[in-house]
Amino acid sequence: MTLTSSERGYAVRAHTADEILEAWGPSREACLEEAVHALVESFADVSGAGWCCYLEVPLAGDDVDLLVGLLDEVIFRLDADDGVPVRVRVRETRGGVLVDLWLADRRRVTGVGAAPKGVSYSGLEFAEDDAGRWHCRVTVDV
Amino acid sequence: MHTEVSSSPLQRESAVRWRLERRGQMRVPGVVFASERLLPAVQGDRSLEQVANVATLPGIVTASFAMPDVHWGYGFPIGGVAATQVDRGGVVSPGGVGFDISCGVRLLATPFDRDHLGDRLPVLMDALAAAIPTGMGRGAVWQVSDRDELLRILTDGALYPVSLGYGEERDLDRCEDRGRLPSADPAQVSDRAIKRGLGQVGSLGSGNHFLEVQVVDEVLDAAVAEVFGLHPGQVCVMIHCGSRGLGHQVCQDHVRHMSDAMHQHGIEVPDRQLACVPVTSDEGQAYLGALAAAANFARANRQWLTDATRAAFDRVTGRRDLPLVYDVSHNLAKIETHRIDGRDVELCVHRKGATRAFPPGASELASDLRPVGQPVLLPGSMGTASYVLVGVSPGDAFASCAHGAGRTMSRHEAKRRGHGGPHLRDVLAEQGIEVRAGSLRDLPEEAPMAYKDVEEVVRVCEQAGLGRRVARLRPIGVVKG
Repeated sequence: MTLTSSERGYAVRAHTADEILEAWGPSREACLEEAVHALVESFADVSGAGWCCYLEVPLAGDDVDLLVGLLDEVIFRLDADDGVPVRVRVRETRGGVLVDLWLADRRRVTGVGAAPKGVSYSGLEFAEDDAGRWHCRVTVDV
Repeated sequence: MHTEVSSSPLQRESAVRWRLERRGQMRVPGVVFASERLLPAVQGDRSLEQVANVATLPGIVTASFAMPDVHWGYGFPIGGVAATQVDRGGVVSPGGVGFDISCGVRLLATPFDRDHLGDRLPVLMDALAAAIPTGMGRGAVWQVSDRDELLRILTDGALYPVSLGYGEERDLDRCEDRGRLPSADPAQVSDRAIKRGLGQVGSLGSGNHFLEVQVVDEVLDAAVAEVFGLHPGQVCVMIHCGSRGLGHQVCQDHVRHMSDAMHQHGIEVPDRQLACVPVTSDEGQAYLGALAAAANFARANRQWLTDATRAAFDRVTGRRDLPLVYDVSHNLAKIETHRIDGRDVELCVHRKGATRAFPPGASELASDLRPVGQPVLLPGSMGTASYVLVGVSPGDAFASCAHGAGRTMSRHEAKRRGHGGPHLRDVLAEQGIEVRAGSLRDLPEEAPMAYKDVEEVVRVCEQAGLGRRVARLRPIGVVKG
């Protein structure tokens, strides 16, 4: 499954047991937003679901810390609060990012695949290319 | 015979044992248990590269092993076994356990033969589907009253629900570690992990987790089957699940901590998911304490699901006497003593997607099991047979065996090639298998074609001396997680 535009997008790639998410965008923050879209699409159809809860999540660290921390936050909200993101915005801050998450009630979205449960560092990539475009690749345990 | 694998020779040692020679930073060779039929699947993904990476871990002894159901994981392959020597700087690696700490299988016997169930199977499956929480997020059999009660579960494991009346003494006798790892240190479990666990005590989860109603299709070792409490035609229940979000968060947290800390111990690894520290270090002890707590959560989880299963049987059949055959984990690291080169050595044995398989005489086994060996539960894919094996002497790979059929196909590929959930449900129904799934859309992810042939996996286990077949079980009902 892939959603692309010339600027940004994401894809969910095959892995024998788990899911590999790829995302790209014109900035680090856009790429992080697309990674969240990829993660959600791997397990839920949120089309038509309205948000019921809003969260502001500050994250700090290097680029990999931010990617793992953001996906870990989405997984945490699913298990702890029954929340599934229907909208995400990531803004740069000094030393990290500030994430706005709009969550739908899990019971109001349709499950389409195994739920994500952990973020692996194995084969993880998150970097800017020479053209200034950001790309990430991360394996998610399901 | 030689076959090239990732530019490294895989040498044949026997019909079902292959050796990956040391190269680069590997401290020990790799050993792969596979037949020629299974080998292409082993070579088809990146699991051999991962076997080689595991062989670089400090303190690893003998070999980096791959079970017959091995497949591509992250850090360790799934189906990997590695032991490190504790008094020689041997390390513990959360990636060597996996995210779902103490994920495992439990088998319940029932007092019924298939004929006695008659046409009540659909009603029974409806009752089980209603009683067993499945899918993502919160929702569980047991409503945890507060954080303190969850800490009690992390400390006492299956002992806690049994002490409340949700089980019987035999449930502890027939559970690995009697259902409780006393080394648990809940203080090493993060607040995030606790919060993920609060709403999930007594739940299957999703993915490849399941509850199956099965029938003993064939008994291959009558004497051992009798000790296990199994006979031909008997209805059984198999439950496959783990420590849910709590265990995953423990792994996530400690991989992160260790990847920062390992450099202080002079350790470098070829894959960050292999992050590790010496067993005896503060970080290593912290992880082992958290690991044991998560394992206790998993055993309590399966215990509450057992009680819910018994209650569902009671409602439909009037009987709730479903004795536990055994409960064994297949994602764990344990400190065990094994004999190497004629002397007993304390090892940290990582089994990721591999089952402990203690031979007859092992002191850890309950007195009635000790003469015959440990039951090994090996589930097949949805709709195919599962097996009960028994540990053999001397065993191999530090008394380990396979844990299932082993995936060969990604979930997307399985969905793409399948004909949809309703079709698969109907195909299984034609085979006499009642399926209950929260969502039929993701049912094809677990279709039998996505897995190796369990018959071949079990045959290789037996031929390689990892375990011996006791009984073959065929499914008649599935509650899919």
